[in-house]
Amino acid sequence: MRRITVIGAGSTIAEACMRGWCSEQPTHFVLVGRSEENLRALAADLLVRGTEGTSVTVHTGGFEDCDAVSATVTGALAHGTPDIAMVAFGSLPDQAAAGLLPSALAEALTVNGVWPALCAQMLFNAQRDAGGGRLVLLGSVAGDRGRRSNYAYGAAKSLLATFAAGLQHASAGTGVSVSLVKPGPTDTPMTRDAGTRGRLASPDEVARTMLAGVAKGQPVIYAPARWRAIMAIIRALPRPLFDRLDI
Amino acid sequence: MSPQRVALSGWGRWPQVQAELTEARGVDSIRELLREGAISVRGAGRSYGDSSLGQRMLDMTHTRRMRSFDAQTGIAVVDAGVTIEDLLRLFAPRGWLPAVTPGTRFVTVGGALASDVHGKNHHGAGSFSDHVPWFELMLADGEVVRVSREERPELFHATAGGMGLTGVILAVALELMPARSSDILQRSLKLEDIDATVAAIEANASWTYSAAWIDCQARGRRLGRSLLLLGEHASEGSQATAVNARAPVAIPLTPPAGTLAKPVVSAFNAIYHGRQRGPERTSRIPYTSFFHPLDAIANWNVLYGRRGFLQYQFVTPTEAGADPLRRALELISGAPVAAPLAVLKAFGEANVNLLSFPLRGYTLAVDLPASPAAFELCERLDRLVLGCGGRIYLSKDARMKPETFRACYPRWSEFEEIRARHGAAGRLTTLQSRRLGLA
Repeated sequence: MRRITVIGAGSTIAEACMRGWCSEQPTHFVLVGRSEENLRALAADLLVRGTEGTSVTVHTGGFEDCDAVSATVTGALAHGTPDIAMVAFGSLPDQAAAGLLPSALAEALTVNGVWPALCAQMLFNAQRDAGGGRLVLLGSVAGDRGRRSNYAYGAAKSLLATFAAGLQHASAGTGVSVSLVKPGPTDTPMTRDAGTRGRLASPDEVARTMLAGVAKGQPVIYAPARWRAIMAIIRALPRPLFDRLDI
Repeated sequence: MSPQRVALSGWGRWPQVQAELTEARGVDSIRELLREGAISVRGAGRSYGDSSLGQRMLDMTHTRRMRSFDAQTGIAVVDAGVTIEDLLRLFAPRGWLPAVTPGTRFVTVGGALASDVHGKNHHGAGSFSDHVPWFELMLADGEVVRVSREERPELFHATAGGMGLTGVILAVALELMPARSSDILQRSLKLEDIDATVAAIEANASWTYSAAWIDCQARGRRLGRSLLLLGEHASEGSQATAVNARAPVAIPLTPPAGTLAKPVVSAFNAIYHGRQRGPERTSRIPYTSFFHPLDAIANWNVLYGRRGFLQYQFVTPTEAGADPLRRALELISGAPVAAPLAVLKAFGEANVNLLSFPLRGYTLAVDLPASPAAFELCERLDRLVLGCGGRIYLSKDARMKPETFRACYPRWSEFEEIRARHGAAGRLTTLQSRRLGLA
């Protein structure tokens, strides 16, 4: 049976992905996160939705420092090396606060960049040793070019992008494929809390693109796909023009 | 979980309010919100008037996980924010369908229970709550209780149809219906006037699904001309097509209020009525085309322009016969109001919920662009309905007076006693409950 481990399973995008995966084939999910109550509810949802043979293990753990993160991932791997591993946690920081408070900036960079990279490395090592697997990292279009409205978050996500590129290089010949997903603005509690306006992609729409890309082992997945073109333009904008944009 | 200031309305887009909207994230967040003051609970916002509106609103739409499903009994337990669409997508391919569906699949099950909605099968299957063995309710003091007809009967019968005024519905157990196919065999009958329509409805009462589309602009001898749409589940065929794969299209802008002016409406009606040449036609159509034809357009409600619209739905008892319907159609077709759509159906027996709408008789629903003439028409219809012992549907209402409400729902005082006993008075309120004079 296929095994899928999700670190940060409480993430809305991760949940949408699991809703897709659970209907594909019998899968054993290992849900890793902080809130046991939330993970149990998610487990029940996957059991109802999943094909016959779906099973779920809930694994709670901390993410507050290096030791806690590594203990959490080690604990998750004790349930078996996953065929698909996903690192999905993160939080959208308040850029204004991060610009003023060193502690807020440090937290934004750590939670969205350092801890996910640490998880990715541990999962990668396990999959490499097991001879294969798919590793999925949740980046963001915000990592493609620093913008004044969210460069703390963006910088952390670009850390992850470079890290993923390095893992992809290291994965040659190992049987492991590493995919970095860059969702565009998505309708999740995270963006709703940040007061994001406008038409956002639904998590299910984002997940559909992600699942197709992961199945193909695509190295960089923009979800929805139109963000690849949008971000190519934004990266190419000459500085004087870019500076005048309020994005 | 910070509240946001947003402009909100019901599906009719009238009235609109500026509200503080907080998204529900787990029971603790709801409890905290309740502790801080009075709230109004909102699901998908598909009730037409002000049933979901208030100053401090709780948004339940993101609370949408499945909790359990028993394939032996067909009982699914789901979060209150799960929609009929979610149920169709998941369970129709497994051979299970909702026992009752309203005219749109975009409603939440919490909202469907609070409104105790009905479908085209009410004459045989009853209302939505008649297929709910139990539900989970958070009372005003934050306590979460399991409510069934046996365990807490008074809360059950006050909450089902109780418009979200007794507590916060957190989860609903639903008895799904086994179905070998989700296709519907549809028979449509072309009928020349209101007497023929009512006679045909009665003569075809053995059909599982039945509702008539009435041309509101027809007058005189043709008053009440209609298409009666009857349906049965196909015994074989596709189970996968319950929901269109195609996403609904959205109208990108709000057209001017005159878009549905009377001549346009008359022409539209004539085309619809003329489409069927013979007196009778049989076809096999997908589930959602039969039950949710308007869902193909995501926001058809903007067609009534910026001012929005009212939907007026009433029921009159069987004993009163077709006469009140005739008089209502005369009032509607004679008023300077473009009323394009009316739906007529026969209800079966009422259930024992305190504020549920259906009672044995005929129910008529009509859309009216919000205008002074429409409000005046509604007042006249109120008098007609009350005069023959009928009632008006709270989930469509935005303008009923307190005395009209009390006459429609004589058990309102019992409802108020139960709310008071469970601490809901003054804590779970809506613009509608205040307008109707509830505590």
